[in-house]
Amino acid sequence: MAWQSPNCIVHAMQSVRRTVQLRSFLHTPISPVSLRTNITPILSQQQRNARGYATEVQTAPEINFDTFSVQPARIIPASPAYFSGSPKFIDHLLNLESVLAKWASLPTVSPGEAPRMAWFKLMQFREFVGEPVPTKKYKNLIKILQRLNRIDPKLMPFEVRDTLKIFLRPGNPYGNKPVPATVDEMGRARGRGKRKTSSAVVHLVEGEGEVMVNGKTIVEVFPRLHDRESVTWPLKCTSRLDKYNVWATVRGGGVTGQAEAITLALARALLVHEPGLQPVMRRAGVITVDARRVERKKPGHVKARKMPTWVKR
Amino acid sequence: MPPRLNLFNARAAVPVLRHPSSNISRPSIVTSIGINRPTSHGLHPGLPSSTRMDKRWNSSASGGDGSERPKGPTEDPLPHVSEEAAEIAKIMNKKCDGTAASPELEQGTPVSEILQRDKEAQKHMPKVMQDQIKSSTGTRSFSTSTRQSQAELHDQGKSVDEQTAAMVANMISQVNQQAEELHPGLKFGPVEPLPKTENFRTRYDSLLEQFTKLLMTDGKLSMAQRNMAFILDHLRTASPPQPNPKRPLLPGPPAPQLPLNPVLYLTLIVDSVAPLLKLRQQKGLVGGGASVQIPVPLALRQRRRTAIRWIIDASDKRRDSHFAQRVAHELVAVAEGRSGVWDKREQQHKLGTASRSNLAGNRR
Amino acid sequence: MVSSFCWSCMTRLRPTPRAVLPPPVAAPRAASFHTSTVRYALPAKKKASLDGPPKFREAKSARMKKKKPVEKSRPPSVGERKALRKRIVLSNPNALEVEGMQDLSSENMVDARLRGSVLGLPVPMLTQLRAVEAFKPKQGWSIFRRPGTVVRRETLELGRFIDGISNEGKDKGRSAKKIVTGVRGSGKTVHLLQAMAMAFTKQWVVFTVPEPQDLVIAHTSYAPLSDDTPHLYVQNDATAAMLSRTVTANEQVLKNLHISQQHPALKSSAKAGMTLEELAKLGIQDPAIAWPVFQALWSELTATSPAPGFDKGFKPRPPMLVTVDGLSHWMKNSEYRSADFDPIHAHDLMFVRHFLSLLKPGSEKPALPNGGLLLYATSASNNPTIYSFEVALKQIAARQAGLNASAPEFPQADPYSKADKRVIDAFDSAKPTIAKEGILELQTLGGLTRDEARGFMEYFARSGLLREKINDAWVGEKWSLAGGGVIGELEKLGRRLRVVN
Repeated sequence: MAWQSPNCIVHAMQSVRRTVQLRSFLHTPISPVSLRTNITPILSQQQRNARGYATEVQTAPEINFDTFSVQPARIIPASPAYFSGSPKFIDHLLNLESVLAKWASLPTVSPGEAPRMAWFKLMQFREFVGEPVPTKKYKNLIKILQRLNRIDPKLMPFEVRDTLKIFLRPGNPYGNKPVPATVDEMGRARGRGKRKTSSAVVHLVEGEGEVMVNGKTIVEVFPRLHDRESVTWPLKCTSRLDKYNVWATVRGGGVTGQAEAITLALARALLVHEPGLQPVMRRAGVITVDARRVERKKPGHVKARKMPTWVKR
Repeated sequence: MPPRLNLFNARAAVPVLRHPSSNISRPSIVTSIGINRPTSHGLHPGLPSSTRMDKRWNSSASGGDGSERPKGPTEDPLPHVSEEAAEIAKIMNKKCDGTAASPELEQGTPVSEILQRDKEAQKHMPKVMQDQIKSSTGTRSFSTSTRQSQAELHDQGKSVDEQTAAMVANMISQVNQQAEELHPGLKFGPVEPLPKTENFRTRYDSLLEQFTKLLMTDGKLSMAQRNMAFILDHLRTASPPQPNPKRPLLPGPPAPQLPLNPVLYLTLIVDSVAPLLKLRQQKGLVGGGASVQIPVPLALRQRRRTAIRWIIDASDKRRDSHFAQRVAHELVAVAEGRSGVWDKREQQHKLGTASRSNLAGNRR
Repeated sequence: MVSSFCWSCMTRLRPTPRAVLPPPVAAPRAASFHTSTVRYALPAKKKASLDGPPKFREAKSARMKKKKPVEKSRPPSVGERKALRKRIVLSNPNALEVEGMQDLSSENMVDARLRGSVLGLPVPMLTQLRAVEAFKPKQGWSIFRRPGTVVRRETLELGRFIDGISNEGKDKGRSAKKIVTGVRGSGKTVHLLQAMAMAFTKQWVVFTVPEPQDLVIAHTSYAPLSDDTPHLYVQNDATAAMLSRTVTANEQVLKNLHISQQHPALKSSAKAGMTLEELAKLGIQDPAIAWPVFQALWSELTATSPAPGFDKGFKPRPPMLVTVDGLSHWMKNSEYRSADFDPIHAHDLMFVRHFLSLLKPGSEKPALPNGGLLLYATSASNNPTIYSFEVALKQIAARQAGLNASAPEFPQADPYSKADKRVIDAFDSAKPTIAKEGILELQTLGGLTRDEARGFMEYFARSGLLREKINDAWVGEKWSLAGGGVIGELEKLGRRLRVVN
């Protein structure tokens, strides 16, 4: 089965080549070249002797059984995974599993505290190993990686660290973090938020609970109570409504979109003032981005997905 | 114009350095505030909690009423020691006849006052104080109102008083740091953990939300919410239901108390008529293509949905002009056991009981 | 034999879409040249069968058929919907009685300690207030046990003013003119209601125009005032309605007052010794003379001394409260048409003209010689946008701030906009020459303070409508949500339910 595609042949060849290298490295087997070098001095000696003393008979040299070995009839692959479809991947997997089995008893930290690692994306990994890796199997591999990554960073063995390093994306995607926003010299924090087609910018200062939207009071802009509640939800859920003043600018979209765009912007601005509120606001659902947008209309459709009614003629 | 003496810094930070000849007019209210804490401003190490906030900005213009806003240490409107003492003496005279009322009077006169009287001493006094006396003329180029900003102080504080201001600022930052350590990342103290109802997306009662969404037509949620508000108001103002003993509501508070909690009232009504099961038409159980009905149990949300659907359908037959009013009247009718929804429910249950036998075929 | 085919026609017809073809006629046309009409007919429909060609994107299920609209037996009777819309319910028997709630009385309407609390309206006064249509639907009276209003800063000022005019003192006989504005839900109408309630406790005479819009939308009859002034119009039915409102509300006061002048316009029907109530009822009974009766009543009420011959039993007239709620409808052309079918300006209606003329300072005697209050409110919800009226209001505010009309910063109408000069002139009142008469003022109602808002929310809680712990943080939150304590929004928040489980 593994031979069905030409690709597989290439893989097989690659693995053969690798096996040869490995064998020479590990066992230093007797290659034909080295055999010859051992034999030639004897032969030349014999030739010389023959020239000098033609009648003298000499015994054959003793056979050194240490250097002799049986030449294998065919090349044996180094890894048993050679016979599977994706030997390199399986080697990696087996290696990881063995590492995990070895260090499974080490204490772990909770997933949130483990350092964030940028593992290979599936496509990148396929390129890396040069084999077709099924999605689900790769997910399992990632699971093992994450389990290994959860080992307490203080006790992380070098072996594990090195093994994990293999699977990291080149570069450091999580390394360059954006500069944390700060309150400016006027005491304002700025936050931006979007929802549907609205986008809002909120400037948040400490104050006593005034909310202005586009220069108007909140009652004028949002006559519906629901929307007003939406706007002030980040402050309300943290009971800080009477401690800040809000100045919001919002453009585009409808009333609900505008209200909820302000919610997001306000929550982000509040995070600049008080980063410690993040868990509360996450729970309140105000810093969760709602990335849904209206689906575009397509040609040939009546709406985004609706098709015109089929008529016979 | 070169920066002049920064009276604000000096006065508040080091009371001794205060200049008595400054002619800031002071309201008498301020003095009464000062009496409460005659010595505790400025250099006191344990700043009161209100001063912790002073570094922050306040956008509200509550300048008129100074007592509302937390005061910064450098804008403390305390009068000068001697003026204060005089004020206090004036107040206290009525009670204790000129005995020293505050520690200042007992502890003697501040250095600055002595220096002003004593011309000889003025020559030998520290340079800091000499500068101050030189530069303090009667007029000033800036407003006498209190400053709000620490930042502004830093800008202006290029005079000798810079050190004192810096010291105060240092202390403030210390206090701020302490607060930070107590609640990292918070300015106004901790927030208690949030109940689930405080989620932005699920802010309404689950039944209320379901009912509202079922009232909605053409995706007009705000219209549906308005109708829902009308219904709840109707439940609140309509006379309490006279329950039918044959068709009682689920156990809850007694009927006369129901209108005061319309959401509970509504929940009881809907849950009381919610069917336990629905009937599913299943083909091919008995063979021959004939379909049989089998009862299927419903989850809570499904049960409620069915009940609400029935109530709304039944309300369509009413003759009131407003949709919300029809539904509200139907709800009261359900509560009093007059509605046809009850019959529907009984019918459904009866059929379900009858078709129990069909379930056997399902169990192959 | 003629061929059943006309080939040339067929080739010509074929590309034409079928929809363009004339509808098939059942009988062949008489002048038809061709005999191929039958061919134009739509092909006979095939029998719908399950085995036929598959149908795509068509609802196959019979269940998806639209629900037929339910047959209503008959539409609601005439006026039923309007009655429902205009219904005013003042009591909710389910709500709890608030303990310790005081009624509005002449003593506590100046009591500053009551600021922020809710004062109930006295029950006997409710009929009077209903008569002058002080309550409006959708004001939220229906969820409380009994109607009550919040005492806010403006209320106390009003109470002090009314108290000062009524009592003997230096303020007696003073009059003030105010135009009440404010954002939507800021309590303008309730402010008028409070003024009316205070006026009733002080035995004033109250004239109200609760719906100024009704006078200009051509829903009541109108007629030229007289032959001399064909451009002025009276609305007799509306006047009679107002007389009836006034009589019902002020019966006690009017009963005790007697005619003090000759009324030539009324000829013989106004007899000496008649009470003012009887005088007003003349107009109610016969709307044709409603306007002269109203004028007679007005002159009686503004009389300071009796005419010769009527000295017997003359009592000093009480102060008056005149309220108009929703002024801007009067600032444009009405829906009425003159005989030439030209639109009639609202200021040409005598009714409107009378009430607007009160804003001007009187020449010899004040507009309200016996003292009193003119409270004209604007509306923010039912409000036509009238540029000249906005300018006029700005001018009033500027004049009130002490700005001279010739000053450069005095607000003027944009010369390129077609400002209505009559509107601006109507509010262009100079400083009154008479000491007791106040200048025309603009009073802007804003939000409640937090303390007042707290008192209001506590009233909700004590009525059993609100199941929350009311503390400063909670009130502050609602205060912000209500756009800075706008009372109408606070009321909506109070009746809103949030169940925390």
